Amino acid sequence: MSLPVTYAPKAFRWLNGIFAVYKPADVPHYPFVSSIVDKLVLDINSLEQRPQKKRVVFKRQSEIEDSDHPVDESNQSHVGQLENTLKPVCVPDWFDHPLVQGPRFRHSDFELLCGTTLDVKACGVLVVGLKDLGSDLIKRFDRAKLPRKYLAHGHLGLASLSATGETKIVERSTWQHVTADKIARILMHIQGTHRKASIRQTGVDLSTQKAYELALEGLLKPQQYCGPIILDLKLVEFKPPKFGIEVTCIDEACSDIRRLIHEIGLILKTNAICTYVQRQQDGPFLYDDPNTLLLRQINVQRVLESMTYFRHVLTPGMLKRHTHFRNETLVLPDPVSKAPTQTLLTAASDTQDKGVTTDDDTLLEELSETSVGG
Amino acid sequence: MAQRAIARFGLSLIRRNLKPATSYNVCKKRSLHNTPTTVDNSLTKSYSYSTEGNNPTSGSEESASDEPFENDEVINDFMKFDEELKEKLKTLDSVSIPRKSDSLADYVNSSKVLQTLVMFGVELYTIEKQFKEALDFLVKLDLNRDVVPKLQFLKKNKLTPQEFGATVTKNPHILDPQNKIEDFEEMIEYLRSKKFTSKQIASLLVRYPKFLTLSVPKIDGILGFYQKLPTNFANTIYFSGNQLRSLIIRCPSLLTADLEAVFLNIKLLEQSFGFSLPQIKNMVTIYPNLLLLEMKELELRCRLFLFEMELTKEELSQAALVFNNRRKRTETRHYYLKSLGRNQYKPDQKGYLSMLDVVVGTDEEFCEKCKVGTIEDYERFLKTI
Repeated sequence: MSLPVTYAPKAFRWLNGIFAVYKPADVPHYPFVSSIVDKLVLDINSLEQRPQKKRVVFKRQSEIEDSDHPVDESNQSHVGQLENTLKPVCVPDWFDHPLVQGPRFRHSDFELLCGTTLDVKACGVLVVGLKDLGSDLIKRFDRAKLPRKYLAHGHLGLASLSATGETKIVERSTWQHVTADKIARILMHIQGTHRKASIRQTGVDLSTQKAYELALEGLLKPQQYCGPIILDLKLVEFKPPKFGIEVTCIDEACSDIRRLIHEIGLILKTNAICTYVQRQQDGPFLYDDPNTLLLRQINVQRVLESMTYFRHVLTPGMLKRHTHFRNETLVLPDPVSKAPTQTLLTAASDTQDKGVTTDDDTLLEELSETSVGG
Repeated sequence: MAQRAIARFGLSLIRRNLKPATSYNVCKKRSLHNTPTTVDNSLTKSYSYSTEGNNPTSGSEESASDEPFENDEVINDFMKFDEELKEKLKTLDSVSIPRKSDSLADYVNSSKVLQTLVMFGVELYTIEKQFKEALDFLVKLDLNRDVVPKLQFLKKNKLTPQEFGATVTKNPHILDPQNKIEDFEEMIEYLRSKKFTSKQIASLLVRYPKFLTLSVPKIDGILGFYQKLPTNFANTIYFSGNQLRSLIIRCPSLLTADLEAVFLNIKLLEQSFGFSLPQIKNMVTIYPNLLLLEMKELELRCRLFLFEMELTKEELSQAALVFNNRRKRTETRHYYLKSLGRNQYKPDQKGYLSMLDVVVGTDEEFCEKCKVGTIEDYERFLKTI
């Protein structure tokens, strides 16, 4: 792929696979994706195109001699006898002229499928599959349930209708009692409950050999969809009233990240809104990778380079049909076990009911004592 | 069914000493284009008619050619049809034409007019999309009667043959036989009376030929509207003749714009943002496309420049060319400068950046002119918002 592609049908054949783009905030999903295709179509139509087709016309011998089209020599011996018979002649087909049919490649030639989508306010890396191979890979990529990493910024002391800064602010509260230490403890608590819930949802007896083997491969996680599960939580910056957290999770939407920040605010005896959500990583796709393309960088050459790069980055099992994605080997969750807890607060109370020894009560008490006001 | 019928009648034709190559030609054409022709319809009709009476005779017809049929009516019908077919084969055109189609592409191979239009560079596919009503007369045009005089008229107005294609693509109604050359000449004379030079008229014909098919009183009314542009409080913005002519030449699509939307845009600038009338006149003369923007988009751009980037109205009215860029692109550049601490657009203070340098031009030009690092730095910033 080091040489630039110049012949458009060849480029079209190669544009078939999976790559990553960076979606900016404040751009809706569908216009963004269609503008990617528009740029590709513009670029591929500027390359060298296939020649115009020809068609066969039957002409009388006298007509052929007048026109410029060449005739086979073997037929010319019978000119005198067969002057009225018709002969096949190749002429250019006006039907296939570029000015009649339009550009050779159209928007509808490129089928584009996305992995987990980002909403309007979120920005970050978006995995995109082009055409049939791309859509096939995207489906397998989604079923692999690789964790995604987000960076979210929160603002303490405010509450709005949709947990973002865009909508009407309905409540203000004091936030001076919040320290970095307190946020970190809350995050640890949330992460612990989620990890327990995720192991419970695998449906495997943890004392068996099978569970051990799955854990070795890193597959000890829920195989079916059961709400957002947070695998890792970290406080990355704290400049009150602003703070930033890093969330690693599976089966989530961007609104779940915003709700997480809102609930962190509630547990801290104040309010919080989310001002910024960025998806930094989606499986092997990183946001600051040079092969993750911005919209202004997209052309045929860059997309082809990005596709070949990510073909090697993806695990080889992803490109083949993976054994553990088949139905026989799928680890189905135990039907008896409860549906996963949806909100974080109920998750905490759920563990208390089961009698699991945690220091939730003491933690919450401490927080309520130290808080200045709600 | 129909193909089998042709093959069978082809056999009968051979027996009647018709040219075999001609009948082969008919079969070949059907397989190529597979569209109904007048000949084919009559073929299928008569085939069904002939087989209605007695099916077993159709088999014996092939084996014994000269034996008479039992049913005389069938034989007479068949003979009549055969003679019709002979006549039609003599006058048959070399290409079959569909009776009805949504696309001009089906007719290009048989139509000399469409072929010449394509050779002049007319984009038939855009006409198909944008002017569906024009397809009817385009197919029926006659080259010498309809097309040549119109092209001669364009040439008389100093258009080169390379520019015919662009003109006809943008307004195929020029070729409509109902629109006569006298009307076009009347329009050109009207523009001459308004002191448009012949060079300006030629450039209008290439860039915006839609005005040719409008009526003269309508154009007169539109020009009058723009000369005394109405504002909210019974005041008008007056443009002199030269100013109006330069407006029309730079933005000819003002001629068919929605006049109410233009009025609402002016009203928005005057009432919501408080621009004075000389300022609005200045903005319109610098960038006439301002009037064609959507009202909501214009409001968002004005908000960005006045409140986010904190320009004064006087500065904005003098640098009105900044409206000629996407809002999103301008916004990201402003945020980049803000992150570097260099969003300084006041000319009397230190570290001044010209608005035209910031907004107009590609990203590479922006990085170079404002001296804000390389394009890679800018791309790294773009991956954080």
